Amino acid sequence: MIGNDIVDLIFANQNSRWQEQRFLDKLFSEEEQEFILSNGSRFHNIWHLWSMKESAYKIIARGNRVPHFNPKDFKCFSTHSDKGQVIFQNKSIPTVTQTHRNFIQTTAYIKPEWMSKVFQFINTDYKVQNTQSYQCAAKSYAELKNLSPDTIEVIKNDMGVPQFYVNGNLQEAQLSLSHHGCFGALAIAE
Amino acid sequence: MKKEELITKLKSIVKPYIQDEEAFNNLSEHTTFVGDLKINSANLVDVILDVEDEFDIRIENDEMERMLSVKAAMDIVSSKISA
Repeated sequence: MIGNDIVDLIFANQNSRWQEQRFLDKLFSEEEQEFILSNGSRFHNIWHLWSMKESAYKIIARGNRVPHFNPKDFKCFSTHSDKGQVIFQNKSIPTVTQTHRNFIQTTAYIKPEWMSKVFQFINTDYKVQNTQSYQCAAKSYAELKNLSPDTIEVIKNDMGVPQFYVNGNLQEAQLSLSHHGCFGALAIAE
Repeated sequence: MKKEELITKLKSIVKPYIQDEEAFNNLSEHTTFVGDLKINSANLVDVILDVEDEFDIRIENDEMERMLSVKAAMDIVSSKISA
């Protein structure tokens, strides 16, 4: 199982009410808010924790037809490190976060065999980004498996989960896609 | 508040965040925020805060959890402003 989330930091800065206390109260516990306000990096800390929660949510919600918006049920730990933990109910989900000048990306995983990749979109149109994400995922899977990209297709199943097909055959590998603003990210688990 | 008036207000609230124009133009009670309008999950909390401000209400966490469609938002807002 794999979950992946990316935040475009320029986009998030312009298109979000992140400066407000009410924003923090809706998303983060008291402990998480203490961390967010602890070191003068409020903006980065918010999106670091958000991407941890969202990537873990994608593992939990994978295949759920009815989405939930319950970020406070996902509790972030080890937030001072790139390697974190998100606890949901009795499940502990490890995460790895990478922070770049223009984006923050987190991968949440169950098994340690996975890869992730960040890419930049050619424009902000949702459909164009969708197509580009699928192409990027097919190319990454081709490289991973040493296959020709032409043999690979990415198709969403009827639960909305994208899956790999090689020459028409469904693969066991799992794919998680994320996009925000000008950035996309993918994570593949074997 | 009339149903049509409520939908019109919700429509103007979600407008800055939508990524599917066609779904937005055809917005109805059955439209979902993420699935149909392609609102990024990072903006869902902004939608909630904008709804709170527009209608001068406070939305609790258990309500926020299910406020992912126009219908759900209408139900929650209606129950608060008529209370």
